Amino acid sequence: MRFGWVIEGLRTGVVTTKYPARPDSSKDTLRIRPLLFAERCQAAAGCDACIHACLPQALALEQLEGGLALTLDLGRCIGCGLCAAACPEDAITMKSDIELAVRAPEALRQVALLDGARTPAREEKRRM
Amino acid sequence: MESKDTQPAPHSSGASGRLALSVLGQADQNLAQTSEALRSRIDRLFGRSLHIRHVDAGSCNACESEIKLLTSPYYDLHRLGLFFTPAPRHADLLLVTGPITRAMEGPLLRTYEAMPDPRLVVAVGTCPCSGGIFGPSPYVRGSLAEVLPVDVFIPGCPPSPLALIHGLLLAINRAEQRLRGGTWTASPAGAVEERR
Repeated sequence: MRFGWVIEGLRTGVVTTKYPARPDSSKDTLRIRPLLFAERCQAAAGCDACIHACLPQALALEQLEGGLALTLDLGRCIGCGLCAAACPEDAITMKSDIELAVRAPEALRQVALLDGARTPAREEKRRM
Repeated sequence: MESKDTQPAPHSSGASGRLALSVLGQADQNLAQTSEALRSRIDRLFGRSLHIRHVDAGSCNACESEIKLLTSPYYDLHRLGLFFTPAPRHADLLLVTGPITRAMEGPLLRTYEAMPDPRLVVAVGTCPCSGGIFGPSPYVRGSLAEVLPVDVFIPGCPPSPLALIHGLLLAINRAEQRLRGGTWTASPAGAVEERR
């Protein structure tokens, strides 16, 4: 009788994740979700490197009533990171946020207003 | 497992529930009571055990690779009371992957119609949110919202099994939505809310 696998299983223990009761850090090294840093963006000066780099056209420059804005549609983003690589100012970084489920697709639209985007200390968030 | 309730929930809400609603107008009270009743009924039906029917509407199968990991020992969907079933008649939740190709639109609708009420629909991946890298195109519908009433969208290409667990629990009100849409004037734009 060979019980090697029993010994091995007892030695390894339970490998099941405790998510969502406790945070699971196994995906923290992923770089899948772009974060926009508006004060470094040079789109107002004519740069559109990320717009051209984006494969599914998730990034767009729009003229909203608050001014020029860089919009990211997470419903189109595939997390390839080409925008972050293409940006000459490092205004886009890729983060590992994975809890992105939403009830309404409007919540997937992230808008960064470029006009008047200066100090991160004054954080002002308006709902669309 | 629990006894099936035959009465809608408003009749069973306690006196304290009624007191809190008394400050609202009558129409708002009715709406609040109805939505509370619906929510508590859905939670009672789905909170313990949910059966999921997955339909591939033209996906590249990356999402399927992540979905099949949900039953692996590491993620173990069954410990949360969520199960996969092949029969739409037995299913509570329809899980859709793929950008909804024209060919799969009909079978997808037939699957949805075969599911008994109450039923939920969850779109997995970037493809049913918007078409992803495949849409818009003459061959794919793109957004699942054009075909079915969708309860939860889980973006990602593909979303990791942890993201799928979060999205499925969000559909049955066992998790909170963390991502907010909006306009940011300072950085970073688009941060996900921290866990409370």
